[in-house]
Amino acid sequence: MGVIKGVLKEELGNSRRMLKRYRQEIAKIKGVLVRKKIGNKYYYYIAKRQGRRVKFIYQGAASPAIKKSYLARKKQLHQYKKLLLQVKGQIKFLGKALRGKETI
Amino acid sequence: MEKKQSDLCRAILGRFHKAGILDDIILIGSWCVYFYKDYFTGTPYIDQATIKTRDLDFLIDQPSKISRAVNIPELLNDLGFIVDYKGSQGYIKLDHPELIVEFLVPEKGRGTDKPFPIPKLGINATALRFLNFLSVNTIQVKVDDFRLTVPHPANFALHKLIIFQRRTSKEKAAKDRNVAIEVLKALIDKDEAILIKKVFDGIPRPWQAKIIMGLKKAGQKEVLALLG
Repeated sequence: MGVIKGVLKEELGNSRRMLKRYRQEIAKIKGVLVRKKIGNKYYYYIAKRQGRRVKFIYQGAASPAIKKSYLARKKQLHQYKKLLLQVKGQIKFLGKALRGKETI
Repeated sequence: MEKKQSDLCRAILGRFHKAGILDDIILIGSWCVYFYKDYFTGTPYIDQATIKTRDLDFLIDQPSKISRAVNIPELLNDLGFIVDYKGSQGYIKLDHPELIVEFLVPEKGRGTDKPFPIPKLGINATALRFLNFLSVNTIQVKVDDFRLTVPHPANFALHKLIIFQRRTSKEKAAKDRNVAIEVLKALIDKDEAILIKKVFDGIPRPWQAKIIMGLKKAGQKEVLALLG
């Protein structure tokens, strides 16, 4: 194997590892902020699909801080999804490049 | 990709600078070649001729002397970096599709295969041999509005000539050897052959023997004559 192919092979391994890690991070962050009225007060929950069920994870009484932290999570989720797509593209590209028979 | 990569690299360095930890860190590895452009101004030097990987390696020469506590994974989190743990020992890597950030410390004594914890920076580092050789002779290059410490190109190249013979991967060894030769040639073009000899003369004899062996393997008679 040539130097370039060796480097590409290593990079493919790295990208595959990243794909797994970004998927894990996305699964951790995913979820929608919902507001429920209980008695006279409002409370925030993160609604998350887990298989066939939707799980509601309690966040606390409705407050701007919770909403702000949710928006930051949403922003990060968007960023991770974008980076995941990039990693998928890299895997496709590197896979194709490594299929060539030339020694480079 | 190249532009995106170098922009991200500069962004990381900029954050380290703002957080006040850039002075505690030396950039090593293939990315040095990119920053040597500044040093080789006026001489033919093509950093594109060498292969740069995504690995961005930082050497922390004196971990105990770090004064500021900065959580590096948190510092780089909004750039999209995620923490990954390498191997069964759990060496920390910060992953991004464009770059993979890793930290290294010089190995002392008998050495260990366990990560070296640096709690002040929220990371751990890999301890490796021969890294002192990179930190004893450094230069500073200008990056944006700050200065970055990198090993002197002579030390960088001679270090690569030592370690390429220890590589288990043939391809990595060839890559290290090629980059070493390119940098040594650029130094000779810059009329710094004497400097290469001076650095070479200042290192322990077993290391010198390794470098000579490496140059013989690479068939570099010109550089061999210079050191002989």
